[in-house]
Amino acid sequence: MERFEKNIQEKLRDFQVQPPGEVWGAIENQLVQKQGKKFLWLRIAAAILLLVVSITSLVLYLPQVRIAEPLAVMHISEDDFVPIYMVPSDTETKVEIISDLKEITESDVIYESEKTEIYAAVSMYTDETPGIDSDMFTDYSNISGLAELNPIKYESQLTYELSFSDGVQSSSIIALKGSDKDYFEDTETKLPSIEIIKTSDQSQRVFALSAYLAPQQSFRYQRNTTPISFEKLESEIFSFGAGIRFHYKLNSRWEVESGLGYNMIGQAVNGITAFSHPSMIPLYSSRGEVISSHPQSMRTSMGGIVFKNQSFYFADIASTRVDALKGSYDESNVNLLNKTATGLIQHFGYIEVPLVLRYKIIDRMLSLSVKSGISANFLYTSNVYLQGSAFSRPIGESTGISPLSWSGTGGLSLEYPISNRINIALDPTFTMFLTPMGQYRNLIRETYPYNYSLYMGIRYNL
Amino acid sequence: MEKLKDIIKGCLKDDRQMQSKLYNIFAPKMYGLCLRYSASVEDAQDLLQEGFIKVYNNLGNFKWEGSFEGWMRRIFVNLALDKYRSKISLLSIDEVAENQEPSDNEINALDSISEKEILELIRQLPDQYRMVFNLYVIEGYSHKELGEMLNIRESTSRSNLARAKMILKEKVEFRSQKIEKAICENGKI
Repeated sequence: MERFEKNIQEKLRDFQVQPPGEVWGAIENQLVQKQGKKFLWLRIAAAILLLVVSITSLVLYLPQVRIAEPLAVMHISEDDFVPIYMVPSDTETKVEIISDLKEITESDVIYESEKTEIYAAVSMYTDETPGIDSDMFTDYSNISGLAELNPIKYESQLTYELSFSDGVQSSSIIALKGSDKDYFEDTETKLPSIEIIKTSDQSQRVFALSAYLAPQQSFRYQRNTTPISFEKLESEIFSFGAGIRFHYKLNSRWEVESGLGYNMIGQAVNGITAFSHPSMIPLYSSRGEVISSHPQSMRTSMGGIVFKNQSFYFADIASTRVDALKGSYDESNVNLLNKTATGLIQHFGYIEVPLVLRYKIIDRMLSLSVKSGISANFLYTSNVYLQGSAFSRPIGESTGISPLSWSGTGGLSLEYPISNRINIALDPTFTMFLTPMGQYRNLIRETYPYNYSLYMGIRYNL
Repeated sequence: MEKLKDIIKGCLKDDRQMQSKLYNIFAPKMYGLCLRYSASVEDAQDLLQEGFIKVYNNLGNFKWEGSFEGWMRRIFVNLALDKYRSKISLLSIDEVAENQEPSDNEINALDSISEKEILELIRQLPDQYRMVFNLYVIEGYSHKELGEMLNIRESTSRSNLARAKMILKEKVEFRSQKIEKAICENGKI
């Protein structure tokens, strides 16, 4: 090696320069993000496992409220003539023992359906009252506590489900069309359409699977104001959510559900002007060299934005949200750039693992439930798009977002059966983050995203 | 002070404090290396950032054979090579005479120049010359190895090195003359 080379090698081989402090900051930020992504699937798996364990525990240890298979289903229309039907009173007809059923009182025995004006009464033999026959029906007190007749939906028709109380061995059903207590004076005309579905001693837990698509309006709430007021500079956006849910019916009214969803939320950032070079080539530094990374960054209420597309330069006409590394680009060249579009869209894609409880308020053909629950939301993407009148272009990503956030949800659910097993559902739902979306409180001061959505789902009863 | 082995073990457990310690120990040396391989300070900072992320991600592959610094250095050099390959442009390389011995004046001029100034001169070299110069002169790779690494002919590597040295020598000489002139004008001789 020449002396010249050797001289340079000696001088530079172990030459040290203290790097600027912000390099470690950038490395640390990248490490945090990477760590979040590294454990993403592990956290999702843990959340699913937790939910499965919770649901299993709930099912195993809650009081055994079971749903009986209907003993008899009566298809009754307004044209049916004073139907009376006797279920064979043989001792083989066993029914499910349901200890938690509400006691039937005199007033409970007669049910009135608003639509069909059907009156029904139930009677049966019990262990304690052997030999009671249908004549006893005139005395309402004797049938108290023995059975319950509930309106249910069955194959798109309003029918009645009969559930028997403890100790009941066999039964008789009488269904009447009329308005007074003189129904026992009527003839014992058999109801032609009555059918015994099952004389059962088994109970069944009801499972269902559903899939949904949810168009939504998404924005955020800020608990504390930030040094920059973002209020008039940001606005809501339209986005989508989708997923699958697994439902477990705890009883005829209560239901618990969980699953996996993908939820896209975000906001529009207004008052930003974007410029691009006429030939869409990258910006140049003051020395005329292509700069290796975008010199600008930006602050929003939903995190910082790191720009990655060097074909665009941004100016904030309304505030001071855009920061730039001074001298890292040729500011005089900016005047040569073309104004291309205004407005940025911040999108945050979350993988959602929900746990929702539903209560059925109205149990008719069209049923109505209220629902409420919590979700674990795992950040999957945080892309930022430049929104033009005719195009949308990815230009960077939002940073400083917590990899896991919790949200609460509440709403209504309308369900309508289109076949024996398939229901369609429409759920107006409100969801809001319960924990701030920012990873660091000093970066995003308590920003809580929320959205109004309309879940459009199809449900298959297993 | 913690031993390097403990720091590396901490880094393997994603201990942020240990990652910071490792950075503080090696960042000045690696930044010096990055500055040599980059055309601008910004590029060098990017290289330093990417390099350390790569080091943290690959710490599990360090076999505890040989020097850790050497292993780390290879990661940074390979990364610089990758970056160079990704933006490789076809330069028209003039074949130049390889064995132009420098004059005594040039060597003396080099003695008086600081490390920072040499670094600045190297950074001003065209990309391919800078790569060849760094890999051959500082890292000690052979022209054959350089040919494979940079996907160029061995003769091109030799030619690039000669050209790089020529440019550097010219700049060193020019700088030296400038200083002498300034001293004379100020009447200090």
